[in-house]
Amino acid sequence: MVTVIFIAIASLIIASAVLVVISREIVRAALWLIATFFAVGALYLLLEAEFIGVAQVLVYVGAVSILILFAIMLTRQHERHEPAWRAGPWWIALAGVIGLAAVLITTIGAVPWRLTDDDLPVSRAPQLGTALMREYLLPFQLAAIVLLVALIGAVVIAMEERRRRTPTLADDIAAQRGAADRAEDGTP
Amino acid sequence: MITLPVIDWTIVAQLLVVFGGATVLLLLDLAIPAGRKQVTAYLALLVVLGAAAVGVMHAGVSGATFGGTLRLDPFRTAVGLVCLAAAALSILLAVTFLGRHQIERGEFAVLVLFGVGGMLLLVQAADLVVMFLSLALLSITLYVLAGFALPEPRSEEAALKYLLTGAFATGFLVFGIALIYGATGSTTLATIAAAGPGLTGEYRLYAAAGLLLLVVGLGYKASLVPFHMWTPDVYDGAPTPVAAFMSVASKAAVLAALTHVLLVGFGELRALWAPILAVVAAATLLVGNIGALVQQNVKRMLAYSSIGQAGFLLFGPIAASDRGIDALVFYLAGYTAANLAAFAVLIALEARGETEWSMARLSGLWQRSPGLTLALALALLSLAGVPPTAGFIAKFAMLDAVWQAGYPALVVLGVVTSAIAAAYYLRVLLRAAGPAETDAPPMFGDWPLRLGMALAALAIVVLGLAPGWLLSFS
Amino acid sequence: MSMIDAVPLSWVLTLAAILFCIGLFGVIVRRSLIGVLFGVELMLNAVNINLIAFWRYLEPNLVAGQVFALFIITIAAAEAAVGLAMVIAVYRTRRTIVADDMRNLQG
Repeated sequence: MVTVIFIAIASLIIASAVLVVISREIVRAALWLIATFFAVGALYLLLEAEFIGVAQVLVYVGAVSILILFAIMLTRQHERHEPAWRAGPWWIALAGVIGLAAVLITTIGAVPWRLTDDDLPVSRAPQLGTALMREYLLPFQLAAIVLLVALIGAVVIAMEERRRRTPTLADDIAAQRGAADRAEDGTP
Repeated sequence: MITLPVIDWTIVAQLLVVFGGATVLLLLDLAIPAGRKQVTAYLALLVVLGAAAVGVMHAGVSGATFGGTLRLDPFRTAVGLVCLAAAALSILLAVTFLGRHQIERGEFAVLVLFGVGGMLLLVQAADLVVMFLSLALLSITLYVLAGFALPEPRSEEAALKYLLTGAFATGFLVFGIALIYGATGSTTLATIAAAGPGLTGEYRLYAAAGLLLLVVGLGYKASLVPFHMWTPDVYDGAPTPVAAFMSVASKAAVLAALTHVLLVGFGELRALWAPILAVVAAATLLVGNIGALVQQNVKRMLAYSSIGQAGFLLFGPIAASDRGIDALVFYLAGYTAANLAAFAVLIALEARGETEWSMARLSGLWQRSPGLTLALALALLSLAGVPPTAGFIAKFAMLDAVWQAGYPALVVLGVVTSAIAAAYYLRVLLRAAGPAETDAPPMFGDWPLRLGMALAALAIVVLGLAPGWLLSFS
Repeated sequence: MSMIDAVPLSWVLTLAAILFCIGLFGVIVRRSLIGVLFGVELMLNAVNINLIAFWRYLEPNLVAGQVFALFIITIAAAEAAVGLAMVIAVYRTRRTIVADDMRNLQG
């Protein structure tokens, strides 16, 4: 039964991922990406990493996907029917990627994994929380600093200010008129 | 009740100064009026100097904290000081540049501080998770700094290209760390090293695959071939002081981290990774130096030259000896001074609105400003490895280390590519000494720029004449 | 019946490897910058699957795998935020976010 569920989730993950990469319209690709995120979250629940599963949905689906959709909305392209992929021989990339996948899968299959005999600890989320305050205190604080820097960076880059504003039509007309006036004064 | 882990504050002190200073400065910046943002830059400079002072004070400290994930020893302290020097010089070079190009914002200095904090952490990390997070911190800082001249199109493109290739590299990096974790059961370098001998064949293969992916990820950041494609475009488009900072930051911290991963964590796989690294170093030397030969754009030439220097820097981990480590530190110091001096000259000649930094702009520099030409000459001669500059001692030390480690082919290649490099460096100097070919570009000689240039040039000469004190770090 | 008995570890790792390669393909091939970002997100998700599988199958008593996965989620979100901010800024100046059109820096 669990096997069937796993195969279902795995197929969903792979199918949505392929559709993300193939979809012509960026909005469709974004929605398939959200489907992939959900499916991966479901996989985490199946693997009994509940906190990570919830974090996946909260962060990826709840935050990153919304960011992506906003970015798509704010950058609407007017030509809608352009090819989704770059010009050039995509089959070389496909061959290379399939080759890499083959190498990875063979290596995975070859290793005689020593599965654990331990039972799953009962209180996993508290264990995670305690670890973040003890053994992983440094990475935890560091992650906080990274988020702060990303926040500063995003504001610096995307914040609109008066002197960075792209010139409006009125500005352009005024500039042209000013240049024309100067030209008249300059020529004898 | 959760008990916090025991922290050794002497080890963490320098990081606290940098990160604490950066956060305080971020808040103080709110109180500084828009026209006087230079104050923020000078305060950041104070923070950097404070951190350097702390570093020197604790120079003899050796030990680990945070459960062995953060480690300090003479090598890490020295590389950390080089990183701080790079940050200080970059801030000096950038202070008036920003105002001139109308991109003066307090966040620049704050971001440089966070970036240098990331570099220090990357150098002091003894655990792959900490390494990953500090690399992410450094990378995000550099992405934003590369795009600081928004909305100038070249800067935007540079930042985007850098971010996309960087995120791509992060994917490889973390996949590698995951594989290593799966094979050895830990992410701390010391534990990985201890688990190494006990691994059976397939596990060893898995760990090696992880190491390979990790090196791919780090190689992207350090501009090693064949992951160097982003470097010329990004250096060309980013604001020049940022390009200067990037050229040192990405190399110094990343190569120190790479050295630790390879030598401490995977020392016993040396027979596997050393030849691969040697091939990468050879390819990097060739691509970097031959690529620079054909460039007419000075910034791109310096980008390719820094790729070539990265090849030389790889000799340190390849040699895997005390000699190699000493040479690595010295080379980084000399490289920092030389690159920053060269970029300082470019900044002095760069007005707002210029697009291409063509070689013609440097022509006739000798007549216009002997001071600038002298700085440029010292920088380029040091990069080429001509005595009595720091670069000469650095290259000599590197070649010596690699020779003793048993790679004569690399020594020959190093000498040959240095000769090629000398060709294009000298070509620039000849243009500078020759007649002016274009209308005189504007020249900016404000005191922070001059101070930075002078300090860098002085470092080149001092290290070249009296290298002894910097040459023993193992 | 728990996951360990029902599904071999190699299946989960294979799934992660395939997802990684799909993401890699997307990065190389997609024309729009946001499309490239999608590929990177897929790659990072694949690594997370790998890590959680290692945690569950090999060492469920140590949280290292989960912690690392959590940090990867954090960094991925941070980089996506900065990247999307840049895409928006580029669009404002240029009205296009197609990677081929950004030819100012070539060679």
